[in-house]
Amino acid sequence: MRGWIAGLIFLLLVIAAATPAAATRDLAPASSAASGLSVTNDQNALSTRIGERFSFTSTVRNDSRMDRPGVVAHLDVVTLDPDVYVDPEDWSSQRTEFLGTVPAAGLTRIDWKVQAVNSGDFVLFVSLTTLEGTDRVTTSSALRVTIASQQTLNAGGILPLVLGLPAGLLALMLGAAVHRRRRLHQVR
Amino acid sequence: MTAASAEVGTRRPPWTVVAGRELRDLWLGGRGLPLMVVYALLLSVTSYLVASNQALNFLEQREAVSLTLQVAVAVGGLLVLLGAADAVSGERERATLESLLLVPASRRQLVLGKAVAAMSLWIAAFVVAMPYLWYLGRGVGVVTSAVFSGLVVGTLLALFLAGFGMFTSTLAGSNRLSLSVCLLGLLALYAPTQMPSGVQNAWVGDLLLHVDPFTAGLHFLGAVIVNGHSFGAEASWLIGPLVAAVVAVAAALAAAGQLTLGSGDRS
Amino acid sequence: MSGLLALEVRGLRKSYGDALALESLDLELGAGHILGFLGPNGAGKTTVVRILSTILRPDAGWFAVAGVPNSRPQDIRRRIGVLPESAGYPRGQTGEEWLTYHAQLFGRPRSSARGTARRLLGEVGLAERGRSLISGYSRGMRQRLGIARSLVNDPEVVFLDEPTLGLDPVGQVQMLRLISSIAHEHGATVVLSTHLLGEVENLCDAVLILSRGRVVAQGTVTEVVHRAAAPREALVQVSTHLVERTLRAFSSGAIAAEALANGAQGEVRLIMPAGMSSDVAATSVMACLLNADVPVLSFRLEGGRLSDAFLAVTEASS
Ligand SMILES: Nc1ncnc2c1ncn2[C@@H]1O[C@H](COP(=O)(O)OP(=O)(O)OP(=O)(O)O)[C@@H](O)[C@H]1O
Ligand SMILES: [Mg+2]
Repeated sequence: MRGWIAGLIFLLLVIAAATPAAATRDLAPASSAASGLSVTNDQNALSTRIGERFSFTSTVRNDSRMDRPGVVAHLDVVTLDPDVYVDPEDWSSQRTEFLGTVPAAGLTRIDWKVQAVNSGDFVLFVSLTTLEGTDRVTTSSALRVTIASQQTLNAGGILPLVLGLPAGLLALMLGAAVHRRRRLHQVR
Repeated sequence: MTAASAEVGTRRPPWTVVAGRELRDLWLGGRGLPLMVVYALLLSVTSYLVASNQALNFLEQREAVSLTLQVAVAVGGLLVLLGAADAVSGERERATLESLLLVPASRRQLVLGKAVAAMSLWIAAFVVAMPYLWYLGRGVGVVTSAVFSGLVVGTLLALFLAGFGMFTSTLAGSNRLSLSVCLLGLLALYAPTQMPSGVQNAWVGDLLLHVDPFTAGLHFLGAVIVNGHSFGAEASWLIGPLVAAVVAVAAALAAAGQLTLGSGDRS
Repeated sequence: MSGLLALEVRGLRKSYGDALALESLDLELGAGHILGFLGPNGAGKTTVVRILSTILRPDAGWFAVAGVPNSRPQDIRRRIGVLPESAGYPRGQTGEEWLTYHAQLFGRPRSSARGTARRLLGEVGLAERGRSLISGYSRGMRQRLGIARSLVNDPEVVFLDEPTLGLDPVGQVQMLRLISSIAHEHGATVVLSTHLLGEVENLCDAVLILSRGRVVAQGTVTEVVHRAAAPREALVQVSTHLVERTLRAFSSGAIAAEALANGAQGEVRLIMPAGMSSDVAATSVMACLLNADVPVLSFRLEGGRLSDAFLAVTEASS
């Protein structure tokens, strides 16, 4: 009886161990060569001014002979200036794309819309992963972005406005009061 | 008698006559311009502080535009509310209401004329805010969307507050009562902006933020100006202000039809 | 216009909550008359004026003003002018601006409204002050401005609720003169609510006395005085040493007599029984004094005035 139970447990263990192994065994050859998935960008350098929006396109390829389900692409921004703080959320509100299945020998394109938030030199790149599996994360090559600063605000420039507008309104107010008083005293 | 001969020709609808008189009282010799001077000073101080901050990044500058616009919308709305809250109850308190009720115009026309004058405070606040918006927003490409979204949201909120103020003022026996009810209402509407974000994210909090025209309108401005979202994507945030404006204006018109000399009469 | 009814009121009734302010009012007033609308404080005069000027809605009853039934309040307002009781005035406007505004609200185009305003300012004696702020007006000036406002639409019926309130004696006389000239020049029917009984007697051709929401007297001044049968007084002056004899002469009759201590020397006040007409009163006083052999230095019959009737009817009702 005890032998029966021991045998059953052994059998279950074997099945449990074998099942994931069977799955990885299929994927194993692809993982080394980026599981047949690759991503490239249509540009590798661009320059723009702060505040401008720009876009670029990534192409995701599946060079293997099998469909790749659950592909996820992610955009990231790296600053090359230690003094500049980057919050990638600010650069693009849509940084993660769930691509679904990329068919065997097929490709999918992603249009990224990015806004130049800070000035300086930056690198943007796209990485690929899948919903399941433990294979390597694939990344694109770097897209070098140079963003020119543009000083739009300065304390001196705004002075005419911040002083002039209230002063103008004040003058208007006094003018209205004087006008009114004149009319009141026109006939006495 | 000349009554009959005067009727012919250029007879203006009574609400335009009331609005004309009220506008003149407000803007020539009234409180309109002094209020605008104070308000412009407020905008000047915030803009100057923003502009003199060299380390400002692009987004923070957008936030400054959004902040300026929110101040304009909030202060403009507040002025409209105060103007409307005083409109009828003030006349009641100064005992000038009876003379007004004696003219052969419907009560709605009278209230409408006064509401138009109250709305002019928002229009003025918006016009005064424009140069600031242009200066702060021109480098970061948000002037157009700021002006447009500000006009939409501000006008909806101003309509809502004008309706709310006129409604309260029509029913209130005294000016003090009308003003306190209105300010209390405004505080209550402002309260949800201070909710902890955890509560804001729960569905009840989210619903509250959407329903409250004040929070919804300001959220819309932030999303469009700071985050650069399209109007369409954030349209759901305009439903609250729109519904509130329609309901408040309808309530004010309904109350106006029942306008009486004193509050004690109906008890 | 004559022959038409300026006012027709049937069974008007109004209460504020539980308090009955007007029990039932019936009234007919021909066009062109001046009605003195009297009653002690709280009698319901203002309530009636507000109902008839469509400011208040009655609980029951029906009325027509200038031939327009109360189902058409806007048309009534078009035809009436009202000086509300203790009305307020916009301090920040000039008299001319305010009148122009109201004339426009009554449908006049701007230029004609300003003309009307100037003409009316002249009529009420404010031509000089038309362009100064109302905040600088005295009480009497404000009342006159209020009268002018009530005339911006050339009304057929004018309601004046205590136009003399708070005015000094000279102001009161001026105001009443103004009202009488309005009635005659504009040919308007006037309903004048006031506490100035003496003046009403001269000015009004009809009176209505209200007390606690009820009509206690109605008709011409003479009718009301007669019906009220108010007690009347006479003052007789005799030589000082004959005062005692005079008092004794009246000690047994229907006429009561008393010496006036603080009056002129030798004055005696006589109080007639209610209902005694002036002829009978004068003859019986004279007969009495002749019998007592008292020479009369002067004799003056008082009473029989509206104020006595007013007191009689309002006291009787309370
Ligand atoms: N708004 C109101 N609410 C409650 N009661 C009122 C109101 N207005 C008047 N009353 C009451 O109705 C009655 C009639 O008031 P009304 O003002 O008509 O009198 P009046 O004859 O004009 O008095 P006065 O000579 O003092 O002006 C009074 O008892 C008064 O207390
Ligand atoms: Mg009264």
